[in-house]
Amino acid sequence: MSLDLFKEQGVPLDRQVFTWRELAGMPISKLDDDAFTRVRIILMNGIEAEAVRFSHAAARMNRSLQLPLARVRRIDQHQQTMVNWLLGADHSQLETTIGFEQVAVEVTAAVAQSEPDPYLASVYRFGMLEDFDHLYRFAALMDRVEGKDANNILQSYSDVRPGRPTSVEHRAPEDDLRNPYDRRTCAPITRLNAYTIMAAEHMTHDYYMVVGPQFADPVARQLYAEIASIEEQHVTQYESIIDPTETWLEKWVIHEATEVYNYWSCARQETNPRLRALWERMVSYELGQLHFAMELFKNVEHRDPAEILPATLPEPIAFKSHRAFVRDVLRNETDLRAIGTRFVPKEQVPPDAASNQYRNQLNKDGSPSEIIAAGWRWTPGTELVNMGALVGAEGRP
Amino acid sequence: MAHDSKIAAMNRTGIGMSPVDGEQMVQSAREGIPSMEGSAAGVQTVREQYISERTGIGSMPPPTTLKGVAKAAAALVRDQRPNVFLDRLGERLAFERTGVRLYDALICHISVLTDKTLGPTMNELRTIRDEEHRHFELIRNTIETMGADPTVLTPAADAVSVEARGLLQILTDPRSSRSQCLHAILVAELSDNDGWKMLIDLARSLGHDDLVGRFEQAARAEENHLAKVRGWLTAQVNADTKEGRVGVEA
Ligand SMILES: [Fe+2]
Ligand SMILES: [Fe+2]
Ligand SMILES: [Fe+2]
Ligand SMILES: [Fe+2]
Ligand SMILES: [Fe+2]
Ligand SMILES: [Fe+2]
Repeated sequence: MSLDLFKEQGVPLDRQVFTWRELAGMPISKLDDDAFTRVRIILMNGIEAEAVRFSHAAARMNRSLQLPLARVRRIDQHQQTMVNWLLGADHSQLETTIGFEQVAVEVTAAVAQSEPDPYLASVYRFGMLEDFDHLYRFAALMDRVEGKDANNILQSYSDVRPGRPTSVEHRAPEDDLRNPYDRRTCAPITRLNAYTIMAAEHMTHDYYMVVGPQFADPVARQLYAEIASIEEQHVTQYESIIDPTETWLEKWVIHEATEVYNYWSCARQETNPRLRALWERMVSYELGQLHFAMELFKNVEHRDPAEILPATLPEPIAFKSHRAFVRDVLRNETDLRAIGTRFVPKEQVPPDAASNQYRNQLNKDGSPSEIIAAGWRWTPGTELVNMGALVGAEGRP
Repeated sequence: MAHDSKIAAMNRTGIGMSPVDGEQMVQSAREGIPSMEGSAAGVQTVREQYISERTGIGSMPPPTTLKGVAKAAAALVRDQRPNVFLDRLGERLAFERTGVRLYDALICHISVLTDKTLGPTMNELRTIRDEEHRHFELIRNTIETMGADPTVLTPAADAVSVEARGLLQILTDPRSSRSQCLHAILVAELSDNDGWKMLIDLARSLGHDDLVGRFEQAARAEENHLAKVRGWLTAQVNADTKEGRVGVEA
């Protein structure tokens, strides 16, 4: 059953209310809930953060929209709180980080497969291989600094092995921009995909910038500095695929549709009944916000929302392990590099390319992502399991 | 409020929960080739570089009161030992003050689910809580009498505050079980006990004989806390074992 964006009115704005008690509800269980429940929480926190971020930018540029934006933005603020507060306090910053990279791998993999535009699909695959490598580096950090197994968070859904090495992901800004979709001709799913991944990456960047300095270990601090820099590149990449000629109101309507689509995707696949009810409630809230924004779009721009929105939502985001797809991409595209907006085999990059110079400078005093994972392979129970023989295996029957 | 654990209480963290995916994970990790050879030794090297350049987390303040200035100036010409003592006094002050709040948090857990046969009783907990508070007062007055500022966050105080963060996280988390809470408070009391012993030794070696007696009285109270907490935790674990209970009590 798909959702008719024009027929379903959702809950009107004045009935979208919360209490503090609701915003700070009981969190999920890190141990018992499915990893994809955490993936959805992290993703939706990012989607709401983007709603708030966009709304502020729009308000700064549009005096007449300030009040309607402020009304909806207050709701977004509280939606984000309710969602983000679902993560329990026993999630360490590093464990939540592993969750963020699992989002970046599995959700980007889903989007790369649903994207009909071949160039944009290649952009998602390119970014995905980099986040895939981040997952490996952070898992090594977790093992070697904290003595913990990242698979307690991943629940065996996502492989932990090198992707495109983080140390070569550093690029000069001119190699991070991509070509945008054309708003007049793109498929509806193309916009939803781009807005979704841009939001997720932006939140990832912001999260690393907050938690990086909370680590004591110098290698951890370096690694967060390094990977946060790439998340900044990823935001640069993904915002550049969005057609910059969309008007402010058009972007607002698409943001709301993206929120509907994401919550609806969550609700359809959620295994925790309490969260499923929450996602469903948020779908109806977002539908109310979407119709509010559509009315403004009609009245102010005298345009028909049907020109930018699909009548019914496309297939939901596939929240599942995309192991086979990821491995395929890993096999075929790890050695791609960006030159301007194009992806080319690394052999075709001239030695004096801007990105080479940029990256050599940053890596000059050592590469944190290489140091943390030197010789490291993920092993169930951490690499200490493999080294048991060195200290004398105790407790063997 | 619904408890997720009651709906689908099933721990999913182990690789055994995903026989098919788990096998794939292991195989894939084996195939992956690290982008750099080496071992965890590289991490140690970076740490050592930073350690060799360190300046510490902070310092002790200069004395602020007139009496303190005169006394301390004279004393500091001779040696820096009073500052070592003040740093440790600051540590105890910080820990005792947080200790009061740890017990406040524990009291909430126990009051929601009082178990008369297992203990602790609310009265026992309130007594200990107030003793932690009195210890805080004792240290505060001691620091003041020495002419120093008891509101200072000393380096050692800062370090134990970071140590205690995990204890606070467990004791203030509504999801924690009784045995988890009691274990956290046990860690606090173990540290507390050694903290007082160190303080007594320091007071004695610096010739503060007037303080030794008072500190020993506090240390005896701490020994009593530790013994009681151990007893409650043991009783709780035994009861949990008997009922085959893991995690939160019904
Ligand atoms: Fe929202
Ligand atoms: Fe990443
Ligand atoms: Fe990323
Ligand atoms: Fe919205
Ligand atoms: Fe104490
Ligand atoms: Fe105590």
